Amino acid sequence: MFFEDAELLEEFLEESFDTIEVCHRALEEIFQGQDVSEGLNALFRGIHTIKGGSGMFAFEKTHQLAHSLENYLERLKSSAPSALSEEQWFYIQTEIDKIEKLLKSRDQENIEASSAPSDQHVSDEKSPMKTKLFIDFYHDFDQLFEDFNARELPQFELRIPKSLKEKAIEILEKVGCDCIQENKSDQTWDCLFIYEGSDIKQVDHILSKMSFLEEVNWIERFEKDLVDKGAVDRTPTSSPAVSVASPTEMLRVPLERVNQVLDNAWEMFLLSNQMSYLLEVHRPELKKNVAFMQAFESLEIQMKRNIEEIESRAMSMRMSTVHNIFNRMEKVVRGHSQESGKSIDFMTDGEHTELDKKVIDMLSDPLIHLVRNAMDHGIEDADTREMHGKKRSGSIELKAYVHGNSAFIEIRDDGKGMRPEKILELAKEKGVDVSEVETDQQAIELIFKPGFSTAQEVSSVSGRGVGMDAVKTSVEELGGSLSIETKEGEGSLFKIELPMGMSVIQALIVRVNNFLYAFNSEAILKTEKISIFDIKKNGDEEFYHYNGDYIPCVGLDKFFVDGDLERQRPINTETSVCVVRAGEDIVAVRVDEVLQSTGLVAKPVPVLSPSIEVMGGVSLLQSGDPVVILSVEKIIQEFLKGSFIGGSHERCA
Amino acid sequence: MNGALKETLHEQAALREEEQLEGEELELAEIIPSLTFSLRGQDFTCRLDEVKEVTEVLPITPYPFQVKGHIGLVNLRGKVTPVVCPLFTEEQVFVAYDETEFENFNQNKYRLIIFHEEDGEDFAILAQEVTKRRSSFSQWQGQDIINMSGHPYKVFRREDVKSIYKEAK
Repeated sequence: MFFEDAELLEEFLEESFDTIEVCHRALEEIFQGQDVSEGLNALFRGIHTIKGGSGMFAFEKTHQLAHSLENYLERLKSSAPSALSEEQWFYIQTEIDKIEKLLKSRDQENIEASSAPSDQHVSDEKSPMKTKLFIDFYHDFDQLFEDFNARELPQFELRIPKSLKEKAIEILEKVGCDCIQENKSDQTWDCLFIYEGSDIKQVDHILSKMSFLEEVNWIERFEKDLVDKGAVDRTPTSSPAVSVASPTEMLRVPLERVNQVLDNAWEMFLLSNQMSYLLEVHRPELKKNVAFMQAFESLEIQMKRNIEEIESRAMSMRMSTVHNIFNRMEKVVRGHSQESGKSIDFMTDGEHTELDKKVIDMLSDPLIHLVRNAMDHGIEDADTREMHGKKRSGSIELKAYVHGNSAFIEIRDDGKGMRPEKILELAKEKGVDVSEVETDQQAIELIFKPGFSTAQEVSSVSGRGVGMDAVKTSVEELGGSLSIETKEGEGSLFKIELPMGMSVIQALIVRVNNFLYAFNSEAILKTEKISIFDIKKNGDEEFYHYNGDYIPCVGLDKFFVDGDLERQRPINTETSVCVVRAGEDIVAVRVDEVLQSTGLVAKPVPVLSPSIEVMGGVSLLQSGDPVVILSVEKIIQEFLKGSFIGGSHERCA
Repeated sequence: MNGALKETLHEQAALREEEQLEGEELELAEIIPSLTFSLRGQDFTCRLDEVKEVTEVLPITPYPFQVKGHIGLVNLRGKVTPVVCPLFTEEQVFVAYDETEFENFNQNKYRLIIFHEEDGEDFAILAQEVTKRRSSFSQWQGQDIINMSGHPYKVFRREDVKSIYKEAK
């Protein structure tokens, strides 16, 4: 039976998550004061669609929740409110979240419907679960009847295009179907009809009334009738599907296929790089043939441009902005404000930052936990804040940005921050291993240890049995990292760093100790070939003169090579520096030689490779040899931590 | 006949000669095809069904730091693949490879044994004197050392490498 088809189920779930996003947006727009009626219509349509699908796939709990919410929305619509109360808004949001959670877990047993706000007196009909067949009529209509008969479905819906509205209403109302929904914005259909009776005889009656359509494609039949009467002013089409095309047509493509296109683009990019390398190697022999060289180089440029375009477009297909997830966080904050009575200003920055859609989906829960944690344990109550000279309302800022080959998401609050001594004390009480804690920062990071929780009481907001360790693990499973900065009395900053996955970057190839490495060119401010005497020493530290100032200089040869080997190296008076920037920090990185700038496909470090912080990715050079892409940010971080002074014996141990 | 092909044929002939059946009258179901190899004076064996391929050594790019058990990265037909050191799984020893060795891997007739993972996480190990062998199923049951032709071989298991490196992360 097609309802059991796994692919169809996946498609339904995917579509449902998209629909839920639409519902979240509609709810957000209502909150921002936009047309309530339009927002409620959008919500109703979305929930109604989910209800239909969940019935098809026997997701009973989802169906019941959606049904209950749909009824509630219908009553709200009929009362034509000019605005929603906070209670109403919060109820709708909570129910949508529950539906989403159920669909995500596919567990239909563990979530109960909430009571609707009492002032609405919404009755949750306890009707037996009915399987619903939902179909756009331009699909196979014969199949509709076939399944209808085979499954004895007691209800159905039809979507009717604008052009057929009047005719359809006339026929369908005669057989007892009510038009319950009009869609003003969607180009593909105008009215939604529904018959929800349980009387099979009535269904048979409807079918018999419509049976005259069975022998022909019923869209064409309707259209022909209407065109003949001059009621339709557009040219009839032979394909019903074509007739409903909208200006912004969407095509759902499995991620796997997009990834395959990307793989092919990267493969082509590598091949074109190798071709350029071959050309360069044989240039002395080929340069006599000027015409050939010119034609080849021109083709090479065009080919690279096209490959980069394919890569960029395929990448963009996988990406989505963090806008929706930020919106959701805003709702979380608003909901918490209502529950706890804490007034919180919520600010966002970088909503248009794009991340891999899969990463965004998986990031939702960790972010919700961090935001809830900030509200529950970070932000103080208004009186306490006032007592400490702060604004009565707290603030939480969510910020997203891309730097180098990483994306960052920051959650900053202006709450009470954390005291290392208190964290350490609590960790000991909880039996967390504190033997390796030597610094305040290490004490603070104990909050990421399993079993640690600073909450004295379990709160309804953040104390739900999911610790910060689970949040950290979730982020790490995405290949990212979670860090924290905090200051007692001033607030905390949680920073999530995520790899951007594979992409084509412009890279600078450098040589250190006879091995080649790559830097992302974006981070490079300047490169220069210099004498080693241009590097000024002060004890173990090196400095380079840049723009009138001495900036710290880090020698990668010292850092990368075992000390014993380093002493065997011949002294070379020539060296090169790359001045690099990461955030506010500018550092000169000393290398043996700067070789060339080239495009590289930056790939994540293979799973079974060592955890070396300064490795930002790997790639293949034009020659086909692998190359490690160095992370400028990490090099600067390591340098500022003092790791570069005195060689690298520790790392080799 | 070109040199590379000649060498391959020669190796194949050598492999056929060296194939041996340990024990006597083993049933077909009891035979485990395996490889033996050595590295720095230590002899290992691994199950052939865990091996994807054996190649001549490819240019190895070292990591910025030498880290226990890790040697570097190779380009295996367009896929950047880590090369790990089999000595690490057995004794947790750190084997340093200096720059000269990286240049001489080819001259010293090293091979790369590529292990394939279902999740796509292939890895390679550096090895010398790679030989195809056969041994009995019972020898592999929970053993860390296998006796072949009166010589003890340490058992190298794909899973050991995965678990050690994943734990290290």
